[in-house]
Amino acid sequence: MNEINMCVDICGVKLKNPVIAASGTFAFGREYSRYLDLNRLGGISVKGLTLYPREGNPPPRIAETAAGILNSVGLQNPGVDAFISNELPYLKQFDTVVIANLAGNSRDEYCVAADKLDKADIDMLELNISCPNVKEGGLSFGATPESAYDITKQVRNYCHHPLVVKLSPNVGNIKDVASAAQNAGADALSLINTLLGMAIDPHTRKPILGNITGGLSGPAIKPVALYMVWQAAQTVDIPIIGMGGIMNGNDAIEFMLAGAVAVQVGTANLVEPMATVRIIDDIERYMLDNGLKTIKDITGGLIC
Amino acid sequence: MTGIVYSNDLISPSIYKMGIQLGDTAESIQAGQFAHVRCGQSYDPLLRRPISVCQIDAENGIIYITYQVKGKGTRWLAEQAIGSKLDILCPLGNSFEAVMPADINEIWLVGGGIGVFPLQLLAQQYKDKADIVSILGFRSDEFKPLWQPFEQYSKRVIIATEDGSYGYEGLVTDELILALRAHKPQIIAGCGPSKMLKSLACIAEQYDVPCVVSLEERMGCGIGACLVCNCKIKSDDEWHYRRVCTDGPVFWSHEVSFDE
Ligand SMILES: Cc1cc2nc3c(=O)[nH]c(=O)nc-3n(C[C@H](O)[C@H](O)[C@H](O)COP(=O)(O)OP(=O)(O)OC[C@H]3O[C@@H](n4cnc5c(N)ncnc54)[C@H](O)[C@@H]3O)c2cc1C
Ligand SMILES: Cc1cc2nc3c(=O)[nH]c(=O)nc-3n(C[C@H](O)[C@H](O)[C@H](O)COP(=O)(O)O)c2cc1C
Ligand code: FES
Repeated sequence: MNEINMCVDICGVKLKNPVIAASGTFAFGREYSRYLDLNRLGGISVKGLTLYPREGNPPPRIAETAAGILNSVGLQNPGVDAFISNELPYLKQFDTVVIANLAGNSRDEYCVAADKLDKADIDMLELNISCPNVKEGGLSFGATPESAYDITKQVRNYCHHPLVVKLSPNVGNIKDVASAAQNAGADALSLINTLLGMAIDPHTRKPILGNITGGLSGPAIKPVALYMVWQAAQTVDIPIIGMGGIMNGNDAIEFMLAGAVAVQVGTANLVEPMATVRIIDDIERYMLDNGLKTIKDITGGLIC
Repeated sequence: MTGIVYSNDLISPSIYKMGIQLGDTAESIQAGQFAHVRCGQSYDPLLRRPISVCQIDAENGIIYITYQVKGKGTRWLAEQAIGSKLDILCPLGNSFEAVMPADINEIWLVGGGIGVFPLQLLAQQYKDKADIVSILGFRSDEFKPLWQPFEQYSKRVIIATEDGSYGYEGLVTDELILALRAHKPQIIAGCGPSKMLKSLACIAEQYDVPCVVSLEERMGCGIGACLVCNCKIKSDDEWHYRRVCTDGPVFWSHEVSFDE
């Protein structure tokens, strides 16, 4: 009988399978514990954290588009301190990898928050330099190779956990930004964050989102995401976590074939709370059907 | 969970009432809670649609929803035949009961248009413990089937129509003021368009009557994780965003900031 091993290793951190819940769609896990066993997940990337609590953007914050959604949450979160004291202990009860997703308005804010998280019992830090929904920060740090290099290097000084840099698709050339993050000391990359977009109500002539613009996610962005993961994988040597529109096992496999060692599932959780677990089962079945023993047999296996 | 369509009928212009078999879950649902319904298996529409539970037949494990056909999602719902399977998350949200004091024996229900549905279940569930007066507003008498269910549960039903084709001509809030001049109830429960709720909150404050309202906001997950469904809730001099899907949809009217 074919013994399947779904474990993956990302810079020394062992995930029991390659499926991670994506930041911002899974909060801090609590809400989903009613629907699934959090112990089954490879990891959880928590809601984007900032040094201070943030209320986020005015409503409406979501607009449905063809096979996708636009969101403009704007990093509503309780702040790093409240995360460490109230949410992290809850998450640590589960046998799953906890990834702290960190965003900021300024270099200093990123660094102070990274320092706090460095002393906390997280498994990895995911540096979000790609949030399109806050004016001051996030995205602007990830927009060019130079700024991505700079912020990664700064945060690296305060981060002794494995450092994953989350890239934005809203850039000129993803390969350059990927290299810059690697050169600045990133241990891994995750991509893609949402694509900038907007939706308009033709009857009222108004934008649907309170923030006017938002970030597009879901099946609509999958081809773009796959392309960017594939390009990044050809450019860097560090592990890549792929995401963007993954709704089922085949979608996840496609990202791994393009070069990702693991995947994140975002919008699918909003549609179906059990999506992550279903995708894990789908991947296992794919491996069984294809006589594959490890995830390594899939990653980078694109034939072209 | 999976629900089975038990009935699906056009009851008013572009408004359908659907019975869904949900088994034992049905009797646990409280007024104000909603069902989050996946409208087909395709990616368009992608998101679930939130619809209030408006009536429960606990004995047979059937819940009823009444929905207006507006776009892709509700159009899909209208096409579902008896026996079709529905992917549903239910019950979601707090409830009127969770917010209101326990000792309620007199409620006025104030609703407008398609906002009357959560109030219908509230009437059904409080009919034996409270005196109910329903003050409801609609565009015209074409919507009679929407207020008829209230008649069996209420001591009195006051109807306002915008075109005057039935009851009083005008707004539901005008009728409310007239009624409040004669008597102040223990509590008011409201649901409807946000403009109506805003005036309701104002009137309740003026007459010093406690008032709870059920809000609507665009939703993603419906379970409290994605933070897209927020409304502004005041406490003292501060305000915070709260999730309509889990902290609500029912809030005290004086806590809601309607200014957006
Ligand atoms: C808690 C709650 C209870 C509700 N109860 C009822 C009910 O009992 N009967 C009823 O007819 N309607 C109810 N609604 C409104 C109902 O959810 C929308 O009419 C419906 O989602 C429209 O979907 P659509 O695909 O037909 O329209 P589309 O315009 O195609 O929808 C596009 C997107 O906008 C969202 N949307 C559009 N209008 C609304 C709205 N008013 N509120 C929230 N989201 C909206 C949709 O969910 C979808 O994501 C309720 C809404 C909420 C939040
Ligand atoms: C409602 C919502 C909130 C999000 N919040 C964050 C966030 O706080 N930090 C972050 O790095 N990405 C955030 N994202 C982006 C997702 O993590 C993911 O990168 C993106 O949605 C693409 O994946 P998907 O198509 O599977 O959703 C958010 C996405 C959505 C839909
Ligand atoms: S819809 Fe996701 S938090 Fe309310």
